[in-house]
Amino acid sequence: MAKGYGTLTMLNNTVRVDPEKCTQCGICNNICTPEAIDCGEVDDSYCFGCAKCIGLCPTKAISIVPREEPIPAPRIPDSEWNVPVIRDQVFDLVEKSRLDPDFHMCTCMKNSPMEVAAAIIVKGAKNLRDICRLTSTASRCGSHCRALVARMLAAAGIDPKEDDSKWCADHGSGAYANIYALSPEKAEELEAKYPEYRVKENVKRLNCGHELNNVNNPGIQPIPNPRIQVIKEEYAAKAN
Amino acid sequence: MPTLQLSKELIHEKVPSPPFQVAPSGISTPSLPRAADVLDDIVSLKMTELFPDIDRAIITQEMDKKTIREVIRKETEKATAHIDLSKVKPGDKVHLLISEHGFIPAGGWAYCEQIKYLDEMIRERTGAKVSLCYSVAGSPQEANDILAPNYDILDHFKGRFVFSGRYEETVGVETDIGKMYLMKKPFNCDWVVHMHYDTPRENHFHRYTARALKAFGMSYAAPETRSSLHSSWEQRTASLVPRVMYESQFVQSKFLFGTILLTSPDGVTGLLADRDFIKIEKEMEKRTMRNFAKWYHVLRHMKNYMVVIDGYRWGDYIPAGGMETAAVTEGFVDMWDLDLPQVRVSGIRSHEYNKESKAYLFNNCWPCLFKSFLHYVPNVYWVKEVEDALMPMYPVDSSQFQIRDNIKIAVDEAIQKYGTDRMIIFNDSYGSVSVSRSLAEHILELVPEATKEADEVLYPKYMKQRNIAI
Repeated sequence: MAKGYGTLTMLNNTVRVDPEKCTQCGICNNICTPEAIDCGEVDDSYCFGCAKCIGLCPTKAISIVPREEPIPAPRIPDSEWNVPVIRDQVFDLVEKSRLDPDFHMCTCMKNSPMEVAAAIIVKGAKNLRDICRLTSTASRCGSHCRALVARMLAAAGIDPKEDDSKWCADHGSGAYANIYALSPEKAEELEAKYPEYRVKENVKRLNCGHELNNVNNPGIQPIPNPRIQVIKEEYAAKAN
Repeated sequence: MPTLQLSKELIHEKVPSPPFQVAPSGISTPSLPRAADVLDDIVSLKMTELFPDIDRAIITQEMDKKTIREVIRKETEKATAHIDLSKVKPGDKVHLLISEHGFIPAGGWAYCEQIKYLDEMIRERTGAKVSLCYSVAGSPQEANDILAPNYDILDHFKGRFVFSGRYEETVGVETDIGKMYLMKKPFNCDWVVHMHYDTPRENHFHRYTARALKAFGMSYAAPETRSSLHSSWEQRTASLVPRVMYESQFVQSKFLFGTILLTSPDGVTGLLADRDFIKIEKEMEKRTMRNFAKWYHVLRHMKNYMVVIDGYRWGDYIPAGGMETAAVTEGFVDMWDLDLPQVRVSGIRSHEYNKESKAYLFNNCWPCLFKSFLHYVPNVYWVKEVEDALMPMYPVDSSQFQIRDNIKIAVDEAIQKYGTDRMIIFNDSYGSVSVSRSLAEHILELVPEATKEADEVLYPKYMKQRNIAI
C-alpha cells in the first residue's frame, strides 16, 4: 500500500440529514461518489466525510458530525494482490491502462495504480463506486484521479454503459481526451498550431506508459514499459 | 555587465503581515498572532529595492479601501475602453466569470473592485443583465463563505450572483482534442467575461503557458476534465486542455471579452483586457515572467533555510513577495524552463523536494495543505491550532509532524535542530518579504547574480520557448 506524508488514514466524520429540511431532491445522491447517502439516509460505512453533499444541499439539511468510533479509510493492502499469478494480472492491467506504476493514481489518498487494479482483479470492482468504496480512490477532490479510473476500467474491458456510478460527465470509452489518444497526424497538427506545448516531443517521450508526474523514466522507451517489469520484480522480492 | 553589490542598508524593519482571512466553512486555523510579529529578528526587504526595474504596484497595503477603489476603477476603465460591446443586446444575460485565487493579490481588493466596475460598465453600456459567477474548486458554499465575510461584493450584486462548484451539472464541449466537459452554470447565459489573473501559482501544472486560460480546464470544468488536465497530459502539453476549451465553438460563441489582473513582486500593477484573449495572454507572459524571473531565481538559489507558512489560502499557494511557496518547495527545478519535461517529482517511492529548505513550520493556514503540500515536504512543525482546526476534516497520520504550542516555540526548536536561523515567512506579502536577518543578508548576496542570470539568460530563453518576441 502506498504511504506518504499526509495520507488520510482514519474517517473521523460522517454526515447527518435533518428530515425537517430534506426535500428529497436527490442532489446529494447524485454527487456522492461512494453513494453513501440516499434521500436522507446515510450509510456510515461508506461516508468519507468529504462534505460535498453539504456544500450542494439547497436547503442546508446536511451537516457533518464526528463518528462515535472513527473507522480506517478503506484500502487494499499489498498482501492481497502481491502474490504469484495475481501480481502478474495486476501489473498487466496497470500497463494496459498506460499508468506508471510509480505514480499516485489518487493524489489525495495516494493509491498506487496496482491497488486500484487489485480492486478490479481481486475484489471484482466494476465501476467508480466500487473502486471508491474499496480503496478510497476518488473519495475526496476527484480532480486528479477520475480520468485515470475511467481509463483503467476501459483497459479492464468493463463496458462503460454498464457503469451506473456517479460520474460528473459522460465517461464514454473511459479514455477521455488524453495524450495517448492522439494519432501521429493529430500530434503533428497540434505541434504546428501550438509549438510551445511540445506535443510531438511529449507523445514520443510518453509512448512507454504513464510518467506524467514522475521523472524515474526520463527517456524515450519502447512498449512494453520496462519499468513495469522492474517494479514487479521489486514487489515479488518484497513478497518473498 | 558587472554584478552589483547590494548594501545591508536595504534591510528594513519588519512590516505588518496582510490581514488574515478566516477560511471558508470554518475549516482553518483561527487568526493566530502572525509569525512576523511574534518572532525575533525578523526584517523586511523591499522588492523594488532588490529589483529596481520591476513594474510598480498601483495600490499598496497602506491605502484605504476608497483609494484602492478609485485607482482600480480608473485602471479598469482605461483597460476596457476599447472593448466592443455592440453585440450585447438589452436583456442579454452576461456572466462575469471569476475564480477563487484572484482574491490572493493585495488581499483580493483589486479583483473585487475590478469586478464591480465591469458589472456597472456592462450594464450601463448595454442594458444587459449581468451576474457574478464564482467558480471554486470545492463546493458552491465555499464561494459564499469566502466572499460574504471578507468583501462587499455580494452587497454590490444584490442577489445577482451564481456560485458554481465542481460536482454540479456539466455540459459537453467538442474541442480540437476530443470531447471535454465544462460546468453548466457558468455558461448558462448569452455572454461570458473571463476575469483571470497572472499570479505565478501552480507553475508545475501550466509551466506558465496559457496561464490565464487555466480556469477553462479547472474552475469552469467538470472533475473529469480537471483530472484530464492534471493527469492525462505531460506537464508541458497540459495547457492544451484550457486552450482548446477556450477556442471551442461553444466558448467562442459566448466569449464577450477577457481581463487579466497583472502583478509583479511589488503588487498589483494593472489590467489587460481584450476580445482576443490569446493576444493579452501572450502579453501577460511577457510582462509577468520578466517581473518575477529575478525573485523566482533568488528563491530557487537560497541555501540552508526554513520556511514559515503563515497566510490564508492553501499551504503551497501563499505568496512571499508575490511568489508562491512552491517556488521554494520545488526549487530544485526551474518550472518555467520548457526544455525540462517534468518539474514536480512525486510518486509512490519518491517525494522530491528542495533539500535546501530544511523545515516547514505552519502557523496560520487554510485547508487542503495536507493533500497538496505535506505529501512531499519533511520536517514539518505545526502549531496546535492547526491540529485542532484541521485534523477533524483531514485526519492524517500526524505522528511524523511536530506539534508545538506556538510558532515561536516551534521556530526556536527548529533552529537548534537544523542548525540554521535563515527563515522566510510566506504570509501573503507583496511589495516586501519578511525574512530573518541572516536570510536577508544571504538574499542580498544572491540578488546580483540571480538578476544577471534572469536578465541575460533565463528570461530570453523563456520568451523564445514560448514564441514571444522581446
